[in-house]
Amino acid sequence: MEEDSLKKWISQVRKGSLELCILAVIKEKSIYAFELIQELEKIESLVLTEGTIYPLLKRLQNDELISSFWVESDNGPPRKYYQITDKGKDFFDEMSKEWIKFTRAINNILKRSEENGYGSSSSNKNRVIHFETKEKS
Amino acid sequence: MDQVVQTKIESYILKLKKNLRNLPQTEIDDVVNEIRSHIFDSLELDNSVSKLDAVLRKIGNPKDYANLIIDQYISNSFKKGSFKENFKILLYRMKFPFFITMFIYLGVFSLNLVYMYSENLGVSSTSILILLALPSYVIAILPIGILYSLPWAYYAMAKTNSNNPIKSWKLWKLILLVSILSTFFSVFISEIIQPPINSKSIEIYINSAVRKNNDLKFYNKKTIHEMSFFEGKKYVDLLPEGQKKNQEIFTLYSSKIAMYLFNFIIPIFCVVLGIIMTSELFNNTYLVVSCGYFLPFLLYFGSSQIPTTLDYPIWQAFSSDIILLKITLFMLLGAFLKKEKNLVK
Repeated sequence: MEEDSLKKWISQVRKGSLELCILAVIKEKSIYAFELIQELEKIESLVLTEGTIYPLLKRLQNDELISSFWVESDNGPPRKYYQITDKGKDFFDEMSKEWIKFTRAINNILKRSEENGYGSSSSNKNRVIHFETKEKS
Repeated sequence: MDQVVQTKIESYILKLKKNLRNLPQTEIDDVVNEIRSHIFDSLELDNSVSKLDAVLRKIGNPKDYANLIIDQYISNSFKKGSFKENFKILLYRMKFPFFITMFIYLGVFSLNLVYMYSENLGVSSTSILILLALPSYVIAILPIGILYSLPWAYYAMAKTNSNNPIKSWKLWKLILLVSILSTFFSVFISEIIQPPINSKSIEIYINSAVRKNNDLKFYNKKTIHEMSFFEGKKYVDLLPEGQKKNQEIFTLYSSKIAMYLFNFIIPIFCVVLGIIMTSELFNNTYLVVSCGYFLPFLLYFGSSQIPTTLDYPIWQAFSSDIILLKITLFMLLGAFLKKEKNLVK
């Protein structure tokens, strides 16, 4: 039962950060959905279903954060590529700022709880989570 | 690529297209082309049938995947689409539960009429009676049909929108249109279609052997409930002063105005239900069905004084199997909701 609750929570956290991750990847280069799924699975072993990704991409496109274009392929069906828009870049910047603020706050809480001896076993020393984000200069 | 693999892909695509058929063609083509390219890329390193099966399993069955796409389309259209587009989507969402509700209620009422009158009236007269009774039933059930369908439509449009849906003027415009249309429809049926039809029904009863049966009451002339508002007003004005006149005046205004007001208010009440559903304060099924169970009786029949209406044959049919109806609808709604709940996750 506890493992199920833990899995549920992890999945919630991942869902919450999905939009940020997607924009981060699309920002780097124009990408098609299949490639996007592979990139995300590499980075965070984020197992994404098509049922999550495609509707989300449609939403981001509707919100004008990304745009799409089709590219003909020599040996297969045409591919739909996504690229970030200016609005998307600005939104991503805001999201990253908030993310850094948020993770700093969480890390502080965890540090404090560790110092106050909450569950003072040594395993807690590894519990401060370091999110790797590129800080905007 | 293997022939079996090709065939399987095309069969999947075909099922997906079928489930997306209510979307605009450009949207369908976009979704289908993208998923086709996705499948193609997935099979790059391994294009065996087993790999294809795994890929298709991961995407999900065509119906579920299509529903996710449709939900997102609805949400996107609601943000960006025109009023007309959004109204079409609202109706699309309401279609299934609305027609099921109407169909079941009308079916049961017709069966009741058959049960009560076919022996005495014969099949052809009973069939005519059923047809004549339909408009009355339709306007009586219309609010219930809306009650069982509009909260879901609202929920579909509002659930993925981060902005407060209560404050959305766009949404309120749609709901008000439903209210206005439903009210006008009931006024039209009740004032124009119903009165001559009711006269005809009474003719059939009078000319039949039914009046010899003491268990089935009927009126040999119209009561207020079968008259249009103006007919009723004329009738009431001609009554001598006294308690009867006051009672009839009350019945006239309360039954007519209450019904029209009820038709107007119910869609707005559905929004309240939809908002509660979106906030997930209460369990969906329990909330809508219990409201659907009690509300029509409270508001509609309370105002038309159900004891007198029960004397009229049409409303006898309405009351007898009501519990069975509600249970059936409850079960259907439960099944429908179970599906919806899975999509929300």
